[in-house]
Amino acid sequence: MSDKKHKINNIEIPYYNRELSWIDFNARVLDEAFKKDNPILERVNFLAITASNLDEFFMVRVAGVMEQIHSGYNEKDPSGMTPNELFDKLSDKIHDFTEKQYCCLNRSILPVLKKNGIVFLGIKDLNNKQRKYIDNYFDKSLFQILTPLAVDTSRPFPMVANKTLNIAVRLNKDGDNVFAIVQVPSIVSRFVELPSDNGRAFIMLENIIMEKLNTLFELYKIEAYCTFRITRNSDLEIDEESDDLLKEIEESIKKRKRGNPVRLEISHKCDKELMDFLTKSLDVREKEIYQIPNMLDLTFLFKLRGLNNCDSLRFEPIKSVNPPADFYGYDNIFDAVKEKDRMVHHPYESFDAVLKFIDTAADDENVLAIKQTLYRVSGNSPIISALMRAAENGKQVTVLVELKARFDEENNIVWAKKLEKAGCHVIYGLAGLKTHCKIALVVRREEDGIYRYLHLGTGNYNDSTAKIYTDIGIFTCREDFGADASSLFNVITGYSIPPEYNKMIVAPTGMRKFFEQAIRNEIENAKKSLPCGITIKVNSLVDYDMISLLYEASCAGVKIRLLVRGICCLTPKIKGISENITVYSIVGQLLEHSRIFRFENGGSPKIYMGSADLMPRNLDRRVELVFPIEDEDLKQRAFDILELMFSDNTNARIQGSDTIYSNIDKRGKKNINSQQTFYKLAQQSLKDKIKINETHLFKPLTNEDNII
Amino acid sequence: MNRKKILNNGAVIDIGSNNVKLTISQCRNDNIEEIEKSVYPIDLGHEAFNYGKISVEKIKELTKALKGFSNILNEYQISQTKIIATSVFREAENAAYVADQLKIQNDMTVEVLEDDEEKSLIYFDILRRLKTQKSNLGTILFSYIGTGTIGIAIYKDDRFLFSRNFPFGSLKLKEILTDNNELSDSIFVAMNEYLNTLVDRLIIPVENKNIDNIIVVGSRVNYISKFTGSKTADDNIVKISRDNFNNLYNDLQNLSVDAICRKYIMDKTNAEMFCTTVVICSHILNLTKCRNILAPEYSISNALIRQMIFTKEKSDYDKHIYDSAVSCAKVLAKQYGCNVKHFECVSRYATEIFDKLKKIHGMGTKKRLALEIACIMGDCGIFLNTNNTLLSTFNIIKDSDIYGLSEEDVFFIANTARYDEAYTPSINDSLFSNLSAKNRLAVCKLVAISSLAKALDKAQLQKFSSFSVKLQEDVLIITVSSIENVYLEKISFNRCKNFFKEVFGITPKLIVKSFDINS
Repeated sequence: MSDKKHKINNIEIPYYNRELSWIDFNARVLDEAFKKDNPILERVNFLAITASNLDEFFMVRVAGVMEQIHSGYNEKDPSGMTPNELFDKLSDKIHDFTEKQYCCLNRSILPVLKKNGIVFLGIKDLNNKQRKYIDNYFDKSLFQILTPLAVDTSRPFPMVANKTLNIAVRLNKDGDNVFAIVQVPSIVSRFVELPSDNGRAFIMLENIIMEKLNTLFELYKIEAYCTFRITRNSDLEIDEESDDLLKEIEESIKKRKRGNPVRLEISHKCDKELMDFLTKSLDVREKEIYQIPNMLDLTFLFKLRGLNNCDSLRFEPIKSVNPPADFYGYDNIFDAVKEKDRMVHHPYESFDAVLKFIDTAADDENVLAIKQTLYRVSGNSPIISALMRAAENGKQVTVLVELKARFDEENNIVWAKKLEKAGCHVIYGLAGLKTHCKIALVVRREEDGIYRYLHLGTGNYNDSTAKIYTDIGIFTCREDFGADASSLFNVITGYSIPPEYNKMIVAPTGMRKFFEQAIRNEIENAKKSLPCGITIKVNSLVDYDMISLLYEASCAGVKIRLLVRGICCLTPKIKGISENITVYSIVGQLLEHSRIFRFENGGSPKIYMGSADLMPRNLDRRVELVFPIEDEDLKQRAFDILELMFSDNTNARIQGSDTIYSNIDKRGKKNINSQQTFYKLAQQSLKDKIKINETHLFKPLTNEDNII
Repeated sequence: MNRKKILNNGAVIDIGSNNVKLTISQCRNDNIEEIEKSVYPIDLGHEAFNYGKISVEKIKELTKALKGFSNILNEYQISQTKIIATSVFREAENAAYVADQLKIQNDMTVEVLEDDEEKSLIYFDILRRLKTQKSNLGTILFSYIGTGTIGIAIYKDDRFLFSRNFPFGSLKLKEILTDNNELSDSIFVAMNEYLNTLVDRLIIPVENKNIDNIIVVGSRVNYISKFTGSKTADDNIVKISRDNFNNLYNDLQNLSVDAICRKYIMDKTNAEMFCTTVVICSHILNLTKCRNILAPEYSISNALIRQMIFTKEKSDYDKHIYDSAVSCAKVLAKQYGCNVKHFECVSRYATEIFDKLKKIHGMGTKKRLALEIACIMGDCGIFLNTNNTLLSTFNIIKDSDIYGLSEEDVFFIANTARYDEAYTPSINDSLFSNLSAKNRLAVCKLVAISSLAKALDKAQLQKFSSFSVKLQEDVLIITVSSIENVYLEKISFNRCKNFFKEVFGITPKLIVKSFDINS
């Protein structure tokens, strides 16, 4: 980012702080938890997502701000705030947010759950049968795995693990105050189902433990107790120059467990002495303390969402269409791709098409080599198995496993080691850069020469997230794309300097320039009264220079439509700055994840997709890939995808000039839920293909086909 | 793996001054398609050109890069690979050690291309493309501006007739002329003056600078195309107008290196080489009156891969080298005052004898070429002195640039031309005894033939109206006819007989048929 602050018409361009914008995004997710139209267990899920999101936000972003404060850094960020000012604002905003979360839980979700026969009981609400049940549960299952830890002059405050739920106890022995900590075990379920004659009843695990504290501390008098949880700074510091990056990351992961606390959640109305004890022991300030009414750590709600026999309380699952319409009728995936470029839109169309691509390549005797980047993979990933099998089958397999994928480091280390053992050439990442691009290349020798088959996508090679994230992938066999892919892998593997790519746009070497040029072209076209316009769908829009250019484009008369799921530091509809910019956000059943870029280009629109959002890290500190869609049919399909998203009036929200998002006014209009519509379209496309196939004549095989 | 038809593909690894390049191409539908190109940056030129040696660290880096390339080659299961090196290996004293390390560490055998070999491959490839387009460019001045070498060659009537190589290029020139590795404002003046003494004084065998077209290729020539805003004409050949080029030259002259970096958005190394390339190019352009410079894309790797895949290409290239080398030799011989009719005659006799004795001597086309050139240039020593003509001939030939021939080839020819019927190879001759055993034998064979041929035109009057050669068991019968006094030729012929018999075990016999004009 350039250091200079940009101005338009002598006014400094508005730039909304990214952390604050993120809270707004999380608030939109929380809105889904409030939404009565959503099935209750989905609302529960949304609430869990807000909690999980907030955990990560604290571990990384808030921790980052706090580190700046501790180090004495006091410069203003692009939004004009110093770290101290930002922290104060964040603290206020998150405190309000947390209050809303629990308001949602207690006033909206729990009552609706109760109406649907699912209740959470306190100790006082238990009947005899249920009381006996928890006594038995405690004695048989819990007692043996609890480890109370006393804290006194000879026993220091224990290492409280990140994000674990704990009970702090103040005890009295012979008139002296003694403190103890009991961790609520995470290996058993956070909520325990109780016998119930009427619907389903549950009790929180910590409630059981707190009820039984006397058993744990027989020789003491229990004076007070409360639940608490800490969140620690979890951003890794990695020396990428280290000779053994794998070892360096493993060491850093260990250090993460000891990061400084950045948040203390504690049950409200906690005993003052306990509060003092904890705040002193954990060295947290007042603004880092969050007093919670009940049920600390709402991420347990993920499991509640999956409650059996409750399908009616959830969204109808998206059963991905398999095979995707584009691949219907083809036995061999390579034949299909050779004939024409193919597009698959997940999760509406099954990720199996991608798995099949790698799987087929692993066993195909004509395949010489497979190369792939892996950023986040699922546990027991079928792609990993296929790659291992490919290496065992004698193919040259090269895999870049990005070890620095945050919070997936341990997972990725396991896969990296397995792949290496199987004979794959594994690269652990690039020094100073994170490899975020999603690309798979298969080199195949055919009758008339070597062909390269590619998969390029917007999403990770993760079959689990592919079911809940929306992403788009392209399969192609075009030579210029193949040459670019080979060049990119040669750069990644250190065999070559970055070339001039034929088609692909690769960060960090050329992507920023590409976007700058594309936006400037639209500005020029606007000045010449040629057709112009920019439509962008990304997960985050943070880059200051890009935002400044978009403002400039708006002032030049370019119509700009932005679909930004999460953080958006651009403010639309400001007079004299961003009148021509509209900003939407879609938060729905599925997590919007694809990145699409359309430029009107003087009447000959161009469309691109890729792995990059518009953040400095994507443009300057990661290896990202954006690719043009060249096949005319797929181009039109991509245009249609964008238009459908922009017509969503159910899950979409529009941002105002005050940065506040509001629902789309759909009075007098048909309800359009883009995600549901995509699902229906995927199903319909396949049906249409099947129908076309059925109307074809049968093809009799004769002697001329050389069968015998 | 696929056991079907063996596919045509090939790869070349080119070890250059500032990078190592891997090119993999395949033949599909009779066209060569490049499927992989990797460029690994490694600065070998600075050490080689400045210190004459490649350091151990650089060798390690090179072996590491080549290991990476080996991985890529394995991925494509390439059937044929060639590893070549050019000016850097020619310059480095420890090139043999480096090559040895590459053999041990990477199992790769490096072929060092001589100056002319390198350029001839490039020019031949460009000519092939021009012919495919049916372009007729008349008399062409070809120029190659490399990092360590510059070449200039003239092409006319389907062959090259002139070739000159300079032992410096865009990088080396800068290294020679800078004290502290910085390119300063005075350098432009220094470069121009230096090039004046060399390039500008070149005598090219074309009158009045009547060159129809100038073709320039080289490592930074694409920058000239780019920054003069020149457009691609046909088949990736960019046309740069003289005026635009001159404007670029003037612009660069007035800018510091830092300003060039900023204006043209390049790093310092590229900026310096860009400047030197432009200066060199301007001097070459001044050898002509051409209004445009043609700057085609070129790739020595692709040229070699074509030869790997298309065997006809290889034989066409060999023929091209043969014809052009002979042509250049003739131009050189003329420049040194040789009698044209005499050397045409002698070379004809020699090659006919060579062809007839093929089953006896077992030598191939390369040696035939050596023989022919030795015959053409056999008298050029007279230009220097009449006292020790043969030694002068030897010195002139060994220091000549002959298109397409390596130093080793030229040295061999020089050795062949050093003898006649009176002075035959002897082990007591230090120059001769320093040759390898194989070459000593070859020289003897060729000298035996050339001496015979020279003897037949001893008077340089081309007295014989007919000439035929026949091998009858162990007698080589040469039948000629003449109405002139051939006593000198007969004596000279007889003087050659013993040596010829010693070498081949065959006795040459001369039959002179006279014509009775009254019969």
